[in-house]
Amino acid sequence: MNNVLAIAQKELRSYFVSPIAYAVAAILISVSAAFQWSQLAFGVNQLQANLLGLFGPMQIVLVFLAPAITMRLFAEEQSSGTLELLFTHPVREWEIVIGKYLAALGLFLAIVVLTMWNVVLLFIFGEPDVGPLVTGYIGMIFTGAAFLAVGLMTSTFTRSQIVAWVVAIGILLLMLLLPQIATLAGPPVDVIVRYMGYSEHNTALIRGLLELRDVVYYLSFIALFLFLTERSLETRRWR
Amino acid sequence: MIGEIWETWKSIARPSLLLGVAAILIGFLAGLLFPGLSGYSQPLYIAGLILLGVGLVGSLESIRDLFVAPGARNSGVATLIILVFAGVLIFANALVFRSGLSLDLTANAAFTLSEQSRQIARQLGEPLEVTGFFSDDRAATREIAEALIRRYQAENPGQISYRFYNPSAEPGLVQQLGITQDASMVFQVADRRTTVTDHTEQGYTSGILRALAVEQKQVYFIVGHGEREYNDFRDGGMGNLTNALRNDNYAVSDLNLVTAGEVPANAAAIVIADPQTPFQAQELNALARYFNSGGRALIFYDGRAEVNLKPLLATYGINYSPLIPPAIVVDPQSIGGDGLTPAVQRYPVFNDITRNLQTTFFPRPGVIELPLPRNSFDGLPDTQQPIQPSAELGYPLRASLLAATSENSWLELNPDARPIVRNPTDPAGPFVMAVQMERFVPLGQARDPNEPQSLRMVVFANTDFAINQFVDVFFNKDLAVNSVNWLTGDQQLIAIRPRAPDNRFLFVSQAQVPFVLFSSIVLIPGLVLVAGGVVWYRRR
Repeated sequence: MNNVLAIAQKELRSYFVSPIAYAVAAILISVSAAFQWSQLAFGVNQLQANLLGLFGPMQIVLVFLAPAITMRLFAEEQSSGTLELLFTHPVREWEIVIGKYLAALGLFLAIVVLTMWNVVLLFIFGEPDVGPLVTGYIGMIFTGAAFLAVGLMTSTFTRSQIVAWVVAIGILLLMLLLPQIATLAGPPVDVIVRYMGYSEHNTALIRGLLELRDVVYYLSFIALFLFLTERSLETRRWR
Repeated sequence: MIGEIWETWKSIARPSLLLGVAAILIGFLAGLLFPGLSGYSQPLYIAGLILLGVGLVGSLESIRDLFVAPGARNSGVATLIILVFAGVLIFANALVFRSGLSLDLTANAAFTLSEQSRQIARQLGEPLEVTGFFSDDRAATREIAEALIRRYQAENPGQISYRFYNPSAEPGLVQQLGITQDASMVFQVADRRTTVTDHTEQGYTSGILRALAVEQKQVYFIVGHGEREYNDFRDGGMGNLTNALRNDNYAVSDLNLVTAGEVPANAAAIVIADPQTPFQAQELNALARYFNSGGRALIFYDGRAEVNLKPLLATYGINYSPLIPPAIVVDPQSIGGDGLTPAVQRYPVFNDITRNLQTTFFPRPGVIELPLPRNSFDGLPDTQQPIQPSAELGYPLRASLLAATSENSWLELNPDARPIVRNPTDPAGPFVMAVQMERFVPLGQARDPNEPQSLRMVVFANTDFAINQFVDVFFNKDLAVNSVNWLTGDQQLIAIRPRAPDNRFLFVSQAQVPFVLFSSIVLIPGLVLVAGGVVWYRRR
């Protein structure tokens, strides 16, 4: 556990001295707020007192931004040769994976906190229902955590950060289209394929319902891709 | 030859992957930013998927190598490890797939089925098959529909099953089931089916009831005396109550006793809703005959308008305070703070109508007086005593007090006085605002199952609580509809009615818009960028 925390601490520090993290954060906060409040700019003065405008498009935004957070974690180490150096230390692959993942998650959570200015605005101008706000943020955190796991995995595939970013986007977009692909099949295959897509599991969360199956799905998603990351990393060690 | 093709394929794998991502990205952005180009999105998605597929197939060896450590004994062991891990996760998800375990954090429990719906689902004695037809365009509605039907299935998983189809993929089934509208759900029990397009709990519960072929009972609203209109959806009408009755599978229509002469034999109940002009003698006689032959009546009448109804009701023990008007009821336990809209939170114990109710309120009610002695402990009529009607009924009646004002209420004899304060001469409460009348059966004695249907009557000394303006507030609607359920013997329907949607809004004035937009879209992200800029500058 000490190794995990040490790696997480080191990576988190690296994030906060990297301009890219700030750029990603600024884009995410600005774009999400634009989705939420854009109607005001078109003369609409009465809005629904919720954050559906923020939570709804958030999955699409995170498809592109979450991999940007993780793309350097392993790709940069591979291109600079420090990954081999890391392997010489008495640290296991899963500790490296979890440590780096926690750092990415920490940055993401800091960005999520900054989006809560929108919550403050809701309470200034209305009386929102708190429940959907809570579950909406749970959904956003789960989505971000899941996408970070995918980005972490693709970061182990290549020395190029851009390639890692693009491949992660490709995987996430493919999964986004699973419900459409599901319609090509009949029951029960379509049910299974649709369940595998993450978009299916956010609808209830952004409306105030926390379902066990959604929680299990996201945790499974994260576990699977972290496991694949560890597997990928182990092959690197033994090459 | 094949080897050359395969080598060529592998060489184009990475460009295909990149082009595939680019195509999907362009398709997405085109649809999002330029609605006129949204028609190109789907072809771009398809092209992107094909390119991704080409790239993935060409990268199969590389993908396999990523997960198979050279140090492993053999690739099969490594693959097995991955498959086992994935299998465990799949198993975990399969376990919870049909689970209805959830936490509803909405303020109005929007995702929690009402007790009514849960009872109906649990009591299903035959399998209910639900088939949904949703095109790709209605994917969001489909998700809402599936989430909702899962709630029902969780109550009775052995009897409720559901499937979804794309209507364009199943034209034969669409025709067989008579589907004419996208986003439709068919509820079928044995050979009885009904189609539902209202994807709310009210819509689905009503659909289940219709599929069960529960006999649709007829409720008549008496008309011809300036009553509140049952199909009027303005503030003063009763359209919302009518819709609630229809959701409980009642047929609702009007009845003019002058032209009809009698209450029809198929009447499960009649409703008299705030008459303003007098009843004719023949109408009163028709009502009396109906009541005396075991009729069922829901009466909204506060006693203020002189409509010849009081003498008829008095023969059944229902009298109205002669002090109103001009006196008004004042109750410190009121909605709105002016004391003129008494709120009720305590109800008779074990009463079918008020079971599970919480707050109801009655704007400017009248007062019902019963020919019963008052209890010494609460000042209300002693309902343990029977009422001997002077009507040709043939049996005594029992009164149950559905709603009463608080013990601190009074009748203000000088309603124009300001401020309104209680004077010693003002009669003290509590006062009865609603009463339920039925055949009197002594406590401990069972009802004779062979006795003919006896009179049931629910009288509210107030109409406003059930008009559109107020009926959907707190539990007013439940009180009114529960009354009809009790009158018609549909006790199984008496439960908390599904909540109306909790639509909350915020208002941002034009002067405040720049603050909202600037602070959220520019200021905070800008501060983050500035922090990043400082970091970058220092690193230089």
